[in-house]
Amino acid sequence: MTHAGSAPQRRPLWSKLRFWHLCVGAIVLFALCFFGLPLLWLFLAASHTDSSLFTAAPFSWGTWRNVAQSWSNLTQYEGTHLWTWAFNSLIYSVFGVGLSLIAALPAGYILATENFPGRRIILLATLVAMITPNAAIVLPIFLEMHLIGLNNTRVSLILATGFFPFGVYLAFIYFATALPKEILNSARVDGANAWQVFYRVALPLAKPAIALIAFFSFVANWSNYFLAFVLLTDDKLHNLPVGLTSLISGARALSFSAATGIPIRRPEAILAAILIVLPVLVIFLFSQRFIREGQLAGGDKG
Amino acid sequence: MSMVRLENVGKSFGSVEVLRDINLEIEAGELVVFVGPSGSGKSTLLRIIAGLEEATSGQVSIEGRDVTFAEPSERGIAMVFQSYALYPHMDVYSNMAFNLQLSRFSKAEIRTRVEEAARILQLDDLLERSPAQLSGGQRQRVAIGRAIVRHPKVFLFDEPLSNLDAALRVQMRLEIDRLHRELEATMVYVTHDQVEAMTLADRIVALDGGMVQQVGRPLDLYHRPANRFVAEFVGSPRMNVLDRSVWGAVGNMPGETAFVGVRPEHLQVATGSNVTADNAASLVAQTRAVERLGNISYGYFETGQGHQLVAQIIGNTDLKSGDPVVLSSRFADMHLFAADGRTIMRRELTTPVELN
Repeated sequence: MTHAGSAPQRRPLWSKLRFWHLCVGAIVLFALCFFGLPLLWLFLAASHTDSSLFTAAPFSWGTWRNVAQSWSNLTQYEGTHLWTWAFNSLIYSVFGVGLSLIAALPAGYILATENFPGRRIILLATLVAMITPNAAIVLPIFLEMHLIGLNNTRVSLILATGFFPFGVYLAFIYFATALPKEILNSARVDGANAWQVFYRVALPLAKPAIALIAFFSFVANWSNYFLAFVLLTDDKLHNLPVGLTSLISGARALSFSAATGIPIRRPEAILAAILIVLPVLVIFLFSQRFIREGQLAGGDKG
Repeated sequence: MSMVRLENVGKSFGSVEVLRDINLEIEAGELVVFVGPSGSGKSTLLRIIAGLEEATSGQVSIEGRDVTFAEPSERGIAMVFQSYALYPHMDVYSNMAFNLQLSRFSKAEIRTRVEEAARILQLDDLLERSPAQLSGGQRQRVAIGRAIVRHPKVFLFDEPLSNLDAALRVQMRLEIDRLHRELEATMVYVTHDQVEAMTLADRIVALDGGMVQQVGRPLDLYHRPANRFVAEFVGSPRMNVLDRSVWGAVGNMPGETAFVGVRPEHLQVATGSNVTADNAASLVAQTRAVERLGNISYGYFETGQGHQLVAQIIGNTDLKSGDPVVLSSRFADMHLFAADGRTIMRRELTTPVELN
């Protein structure tokens, strides 16, 4: 080793990081403005009364009493079936997630591992179904359910949300790219039949995909408004989005016109929004652990 | 009765023919190595025996039973993959027990067998670990253990050592050789490494272009290659195969001879004009490079017409780049090939062939 002159010149840290920092900073700022602040404001606003919302300083905390008051207004009003709606939402989401997992995982697996006639067509149809907006097929689904006499039943919504093309596609991508084929071949040589290869080897290794599909399916079902609105006319069958929306618009809580006498005003609407958002946040925090877990490490040469 | 029998096996992917007319019999207890460059079809052939690929034509039998269309699980085979293909969600014990569980062996029997395999492979202390916690060599041992516990009729190895580093590769090679002798098992082993093939095989099947080029004992292939491909593929450094005209008129060369091959260890290197051993052919060349490995040196030479040759020099040499040399070989050590690459057999071939 020769040390000609001085030690090698090290570039100052800031010159490497400045541009990168700028990008990250811009993204964080953007997210803060259009996501963080509104969310923060949402939680703070629930502590105000309808009038103090406008008089108090922005981003100020009101009182817990206001929260309690709004909560009792929301839950005790005779037109509210809050717990029924929450229960319905849960039923629709849990069964919707279950059904979409049962359908999406084997479908994606077969599309990824087997080559059969019609495979490309099915993949293409899945993509088309994935990008078709929900609103476009609501009416045909309504007619279909009408035809088989399932309109205005819980089953109709669950069946209609059970097919989750995005989930099929996610499962397909995962099984096609992340899961080494040799592991499946090795299970076949080990004596596993097609079904055993799937549920004893492929499925346990697909936990990240399962968590991701379950999460997206849950979000889609939990916040499903339009389909539920069209299929379910009985307000005892409504889920939270449909029930609360009809309550809030019925009470004209968000309009500036004179109060209708119904104790559902802006704070109650805000509380309702929190009620809808909160479970999704909790579920996300729970499921992202599985998504990030390295399931496949160590199987192959690595 | 042969353990594995391939009759006229062919395989095409679409319009691409990767295997043509393969006929082969593998005896019980034999270790047969498929060797060939990449794209020669050796792995495809192994996967056809395993049942992971279906032959497009021909018939595969194991222990006399036609298994051409049988599932891998119905064939009584076990396979070790290049990528190990362990189940990442199971610990070492469950990886090895998986097949036995599927075959509904009793818990006690499973434990006995797994522990026996673990003892043979020195995996006793690792049974509770997950594959992610193992080194490459240990993972490969688990993959082999997974095969051993089943007591299969045939072990199939698909380039099992190619992901290991050089030292570990030698160690595992010896271990597979030991296993082969201890278990007296029939093994089919695929590799592109001719050293692995030479050291492990009872018999080598040399493949190229989807066809069997030669089947024989390792030293048969080395000393009596059936054609130019085998001659050049087996042996390291490879045989010097040159146009016959380069060597001029030597010995009693048959008229159809188109190419002449000389192995590096059969080339004598002389720096003066003191060459002309009896019955020797010679040519003039320039030294291009010398590799000194200590016990042995390799000289790289180039003739005036630009032909490249390698010669093996025992011990050290003071040869250096640019030195003019005379390279010579006994006529008896020369391999003669026809224009189509086939070896021209000669009576005079006196190369000692070690059989057994």
